[in-house]
This record gives sequence, C-alpha cells and structure tokens, in this order.
Amino acid sequence: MTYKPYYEPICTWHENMEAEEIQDLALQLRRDAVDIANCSGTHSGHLGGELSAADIMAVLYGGILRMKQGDPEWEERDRLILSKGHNSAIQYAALVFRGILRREQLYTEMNRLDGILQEHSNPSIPGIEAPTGSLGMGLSVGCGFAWAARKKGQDYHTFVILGDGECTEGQVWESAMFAAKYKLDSLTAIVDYNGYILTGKTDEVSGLAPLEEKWKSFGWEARTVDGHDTEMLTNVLSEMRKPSFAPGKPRVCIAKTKKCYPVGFMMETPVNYHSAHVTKDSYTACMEELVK
Amino acid sequence: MTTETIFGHKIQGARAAVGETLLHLAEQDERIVVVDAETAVATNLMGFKEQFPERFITTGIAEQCAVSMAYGLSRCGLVPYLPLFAAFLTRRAYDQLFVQIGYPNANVKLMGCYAGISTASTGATHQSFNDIALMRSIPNIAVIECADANALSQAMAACVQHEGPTYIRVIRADLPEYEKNILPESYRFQIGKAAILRNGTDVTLIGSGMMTVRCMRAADELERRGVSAEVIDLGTIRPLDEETVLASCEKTNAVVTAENHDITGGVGSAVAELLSEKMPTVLRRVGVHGRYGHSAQLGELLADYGLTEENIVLAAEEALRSTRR
Repeated sequence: MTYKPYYEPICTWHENMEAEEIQDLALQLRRDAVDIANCSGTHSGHLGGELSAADIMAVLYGGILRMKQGDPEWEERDRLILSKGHNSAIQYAALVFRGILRREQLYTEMNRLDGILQEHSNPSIPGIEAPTGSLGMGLSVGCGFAWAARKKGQDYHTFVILGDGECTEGQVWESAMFAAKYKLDSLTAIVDYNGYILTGKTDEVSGLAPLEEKWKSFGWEARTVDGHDTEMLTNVLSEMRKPSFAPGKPRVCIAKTKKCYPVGFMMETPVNYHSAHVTKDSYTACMEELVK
Repeated sequence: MTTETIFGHKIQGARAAVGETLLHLAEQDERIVVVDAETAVATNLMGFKEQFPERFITTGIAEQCAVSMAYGLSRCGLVPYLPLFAAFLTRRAYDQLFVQIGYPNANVKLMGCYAGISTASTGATHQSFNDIALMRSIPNIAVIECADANALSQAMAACVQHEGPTYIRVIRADLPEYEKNILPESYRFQIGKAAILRNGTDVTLIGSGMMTVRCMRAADELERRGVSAEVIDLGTIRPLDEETVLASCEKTNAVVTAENHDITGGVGSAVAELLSEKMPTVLRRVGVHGRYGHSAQLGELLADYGLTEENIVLAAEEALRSTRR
C-alpha cells in the first residue's frame, strides 16, 4: 500500500533543537496525527486531544527526553507514559521523528488487522512503555518506574501525560499519594488540561477545578503553564527534570491547552472531535489550517 | 512449619508459608520485591518488611495503584510479588489486571489470600467466591491453588521461575488439616500439572485447594460404601491439565469437582468445559451455589454452603446413579 501524505515532513531530529524547530515539530506531529486518522483502517482518530497535546509531545521528544535515536530499549532512557492512551497517534508520530517507528507504518498499520499500531497503545509497539487507554492507570506505572529507578540506582526521569478528564479517576489520586509518600522526585506528571471531556467542559462534568491546588495539597510541586507555548513548556519541563528543582517532591506541570488547537472549525465544537471519523472534506479543511 | 503470633493467634499452615517462602525467595533472588496494599499483617508479611524494608512497598489501601505500579516495576526488571486479599485484588483491580498484567504478559506474581469461605468471620464482602472465574478469563495468567502449605511454597518458587503473570489463590488456613501436609512427600509442584493422589475406577474426585483433603476423606467413605474413587489434586486451574483429567474420566465415567468458590466460572466450570467438548461425562459440582457469603464460624459455613466431604460423597453417589440410568 502506498500513501502520499498531504505534506512532506518538515523536521528531522538533531541535538539542541532551536525553539523554532520545536514549533515546526509540533506542526508536523499535528499533520501526522490527522494523516494517521485519515489512513487508519477505521478512518478515525481521537484528534481533539492529539492536537491539544502536540506541543507537549514536541517539547518532550524534541529535546527534554533523554533518548538514544532509534533505540527504544536503551536502559538509561527517560520513560514517557501516555496515560491518556487514546491519543496514541501523536506519540506514534513522535516515535517516527525519533527513529523508533518507520514513517510508512503511520499510513499502513493504524487500526488494521495486520498492523501493530493500536488506537490505544501497548508495549508490544516499539517505544511504548505501558498499556494505556483504560484511563487512570498511567501515573501508577510511572510510580513503579520511578521507584525502580531509585532501587536500581538509575538516574532516568519518568514523565506521565494525563488528560484532564482522566484526573477524575480515583486511581490517579491513589498514585499521587503514593508518589508523595515515597518522595518520587524523578517523576513528572503533565496534565493536558484542554478543558473538555467527551460530553462537555471537564470542570462542569467533574468538578475538577481547582486542579493545581489539588496536586499541591497532595504534596506535589505544581506549575501551571500555557500548554501551547513551547518555549515556556521547555523551560518548565527541563527544570522539573532536574533533581534540584524540588528535592523529595514529585512534580506536575498543568498545561493549559485547547482541545483541537489550532484548527478553528473544530475548536468551535470540540465535543464533536474527541473521537471522530475523518471525511474527505474535514481532512482537507483541517490540513488547510495546519500551515506555518 | 514454624509458627508466629499475631494478635494472640498462632499463624500456621498456608499463611505462615506465604511470609516464610517470600523471605526465602527474596534471599535467593534480588529482583524480588513485595507490594502490599495494607493487608501485610493478615498475610504475614511483617517479617519480610522487617528483614527487607527496602524491598517492601505499600500503597496503602489502593489495590488499583498496587497492580499498575507492579506492572511498572516488572517492566524495569524487578519481580513484584503481590500478596493481597483475593476479593479486593481481583474485584477492585480487575481492569488493571486485565489491561496492565494480562495484556502485556507482565512478569508479576499475584496472590489472592483469604480466598473463598476461609475468611469466615468477615462475610460476603471479603469471601471471594468468583476470583477463579475472574482470573481464568484473563489470557496469559496462570491460575494456581494448592492443597497444602508445602505445595504452596513450591508453587511460589515455581512462579518466580515462570516468565509471565501468575495468580496463586491461598486460603486463610485456620483449619487443623493445614498444619500438616496433605500431599505425599514425593509431590513436586509444576505449573499446569495435576497430581493423582489416589487411584480408583468408579468415580473421579477433582479437588482444588482446601477441597482436596475433603476429596481424600470422601474417597475413604466411598470405599466403605463399596465405591472406588480416584482423587486428583488440580494444582493449576489454568492452564488445565487436560491430559490427566481426561485419562481419569475415561476410566471412571463419572466426575465430581470440589472447590471453595462458586460453581459458576471456577474449577467445576473449567472441567465441564473440557469434558463437554472432548469427552462428555456425568459431572457433579461441589462448591458455592450462587450465593453471597456470610460471617459466621467456619464449621457452620462449610456445612451450610455445602463444602464438606459429605457433600462430595453425596455428589459422587448421585453421579454414579446417573451413569447407571
């Protein structure tokens, strides 16, 4: 099967990527996510949350994560768990950027019987650390990674990306208590606070706010940032990765994002694009907005 | 078996074996860590905590976190052992077990303690009558139940050797027979291998866990009544030792299963599934019949829920009558 993407990739990885290149990467990841949905065996994807998390992903895979290009099992790698596992496509795109998946896999293996790329990711896929998709579980896995790092004397950092809707799961707060008790300061949670759960605004559906105060009261060092400002994200996450940032405390970066960002017609009714079929028209309209 | 005292009660049999065996295994294999969810006193882990504080993790009363975190530990090369209460491990954390233990074939060693009716005083909330049903419907997980403390120790060691998820079901073991060994000294536990404890020709009694000794006693009684009973201790419920079960049933033509669990989805179901597809055979299932638990004295409960050797004898006679029709 051959597939010609709407756009060619605009970004290749190198060390010390410039701020502008990180923004290019975020754009590339967004285009890839839409392409993946368009090519998937089910012609669908969870685009709303993928577009909101694209800048976080670009910052992590563009420079924050300690990785070896092309080697998903390098022992000293930083661990990243996408706890909101329905947004796997944006991570698959990032794994292509880091040489762990092949680009053609994005177009030929998503949601297909003979493909490995599942709508909700699992560790049989290179570069994926944990099975996620049933929400609320990823932070506990991150606790296990961080505890094991200390036990084994390793200095990798563990990042966990949570959805805001996911933070209504009780298990998230079981893990929050655990991480604080064990002083897991090599653990950073990033909440993609895009404001929307499946049926409406997260704060109205669940009573999530005030979120930063909740994390702080659980003993976490919390910062709230604009989740589409890649420079600010880079600064905060590189600080949080350092042991000296808040010794003995797990960290949480609450990234205020917008669901479907920056695609205008989707942002008008984000609940329609949590998970959606991609039509020829919506694909074209979407891609026309994803330009430099 | 040595004994310890907690809350003024002697800890013996299976419960003592859990703590002692984990200590022994941890001394031999530094990958082993224990994850507790605030049942460590009941499951006799305080000795482990004292000896290996840096290898003992507790989540508090948070089974879901414990299970998902154990996946994380296993992904980093550690071998987590989770001796939690069967009821709460399998029911509260079922999604986590399915998605993060079974699905990735995680090398995590689960133990469901206080299984079935054996936690007599606690009642319906704590008496797990469906943990076998839940666990054996998750692909990849080996489901194990042992007849005595010696076999349990062997099984716990075998699980460490086995690469992949395992679930051992353990009773609370206040019963006098668990202070002694039920299985012969020559018994060697092997995942997926059942043991024939007594040869017979008329009826096969298949026991699991604490019901195996009741099958042995039932076989004695049946012998007095002129019936030759073969007794199998299942040891592993999934994967089922189909060969041993089928060979015995071919010989006897009548089967009774006995389990400390509901007859729906447990040992009786597993045997029924096998036989009805491969060798239709008259079968009677001894176990809990679609009821919730109740807090009372163990002896009263065993009689009321039909988990005695008399129930097995009656079931065997009924099965035999059925074959002669």
